[in-house]
Amino acid sequence: MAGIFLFMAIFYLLIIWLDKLFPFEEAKPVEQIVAVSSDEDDEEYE
Amino acid sequence: MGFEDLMPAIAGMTWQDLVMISIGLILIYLAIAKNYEPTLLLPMGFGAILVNIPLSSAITQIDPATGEAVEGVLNVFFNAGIATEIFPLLIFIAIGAMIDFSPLFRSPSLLLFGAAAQFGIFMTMVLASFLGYDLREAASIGIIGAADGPTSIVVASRFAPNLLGPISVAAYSYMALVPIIQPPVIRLLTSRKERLIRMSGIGHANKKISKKALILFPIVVTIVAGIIAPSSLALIGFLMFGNLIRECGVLNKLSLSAQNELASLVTILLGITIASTMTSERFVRVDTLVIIGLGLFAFVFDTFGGVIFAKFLNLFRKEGNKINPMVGACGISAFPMSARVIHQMGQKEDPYNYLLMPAISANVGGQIGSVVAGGIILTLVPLFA
Repeated sequence: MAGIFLFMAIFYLLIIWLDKLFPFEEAKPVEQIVAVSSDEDDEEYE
Repeated sequence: MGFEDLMPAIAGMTWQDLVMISIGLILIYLAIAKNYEPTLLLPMGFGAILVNIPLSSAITQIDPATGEAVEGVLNVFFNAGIATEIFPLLIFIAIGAMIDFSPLFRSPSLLLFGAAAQFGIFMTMVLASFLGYDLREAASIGIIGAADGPTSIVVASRFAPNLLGPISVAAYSYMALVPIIQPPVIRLLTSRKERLIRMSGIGHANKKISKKALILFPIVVTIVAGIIAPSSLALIGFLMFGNLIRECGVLNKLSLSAQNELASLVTILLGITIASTMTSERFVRVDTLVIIGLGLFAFVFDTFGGVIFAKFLNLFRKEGNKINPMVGACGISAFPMSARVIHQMGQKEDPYNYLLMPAISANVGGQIGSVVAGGIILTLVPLFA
C-alpha cells in the first residue's frame, strides 16, 4: 500500500509541476492577429 | 459400433460439463438481458459453452488414433495472446486512448484516492494467504480488487494461470456489479451529514488545462514509473502510450482506431480466449467459489479503504473544505461506473449536490492506481515468493 501512495504522491507533484510550468494560454483571436499585422505594415510605410 | 462411438460428446458429458455450460448460459443472459459488462461476459459465456462440450475441437484434444495432441484454436489464441500478455496490453493502449486526465489536473489531490481504494487488493492477499494460497496465487486473487480486467489478466496469467478463469469471471462480474456492491458499504461507513457534504470548494470545474501539460504527463509518468519499478513498465507504459496518442493532437485517426477498432477486436479475442481456461476440471472446484467470495471481499474493502481515507483526511480539513467520503469510493478503476453511482447517491441525499466532477477525478485516479498496484505486485511478489 505504501508503494502505491508513494507513486501517487509523486504523480500528484508531477501534475502540480506540469500545471505550473505550462499554464493554459488562450489562443489569440484572429481579429487581434490581423490588427497587429496591419499596424506593423503601417509602421513599415511611415 | 456402440453409442459411445456414434455420439462421443454425449457419452463423454459429465455433470461438471453441464454445470459449466449452464454457467456459460448464465453469463450470456447477464450480458444481454441485464447489460452486465457484455463486452466480456458474452464472449466468456459463449466460450465456456465451446470448451465444455466433450472432445470440442476449440481446445487441444488428444487424437485417440495417433495419441498426439491436436491443438485447438482457443489454445493457440491463449498461447499467442494471453500467456504473452499481448491481448491485455493492447487493451491498455485502447484504454489509455480513452482516458482524459484533465479532471485530475483540476483536482490533483483526489489522485490519492486512487491509492486508498486499492486497499482491498492487499487485504484480500492477506486473507487468501491465511486460507492456504501461496503468495503468487494470493496476489492473483487479490488483484481482482484492482477492478481492472487487463491488470487482473496480466498478473494472474503470470503468477497463477491455473486460476485465470475464475479470476477473470470474478473481476469482470464484480466490475459490472459496482452499482450493487458499493452503495450498501458506503451507507454503512458514512453518516447522512457526511453524505451531504458539498465539494464546490475543491478543484476548479471550469479550469482549462494546457495541451503541453497533457502531452508531457504520460511521457513523464512512464519515465518515472519505469525508473522506480521497471517491472511495471509494460502495464503503465502501454496505458500512457495510448494516452499520448490521444493527447498529441497529430494522430487523431490512430487515437480513434485505438478507442474503437483496436478495443473491439482485442476484446472479442480476449473474452473468448479466457474461456479456454474455463474447462470443468479447472472451474468446478471449491477453489472457484472461494475465489469468487474473495473477489467480493476485495471490492468491499476497496470501497472501505477509499471512504475511510476520505474521513481521515477530513479530520485535518476545515468546514467548507471537507471531502464527501463517498468520493473516496470512486478511487477504484471501474470508470465511469463508480463516479456515476456516487453522483447518483449524492443526488438522492441532496438533489443540488453535484459530486460528478470530483467523483470523476477520483475515478480517473483509480485507473492509474490500479495499474500502479499491478506493477508493484509484479515487481515485489517474485522477491518474496
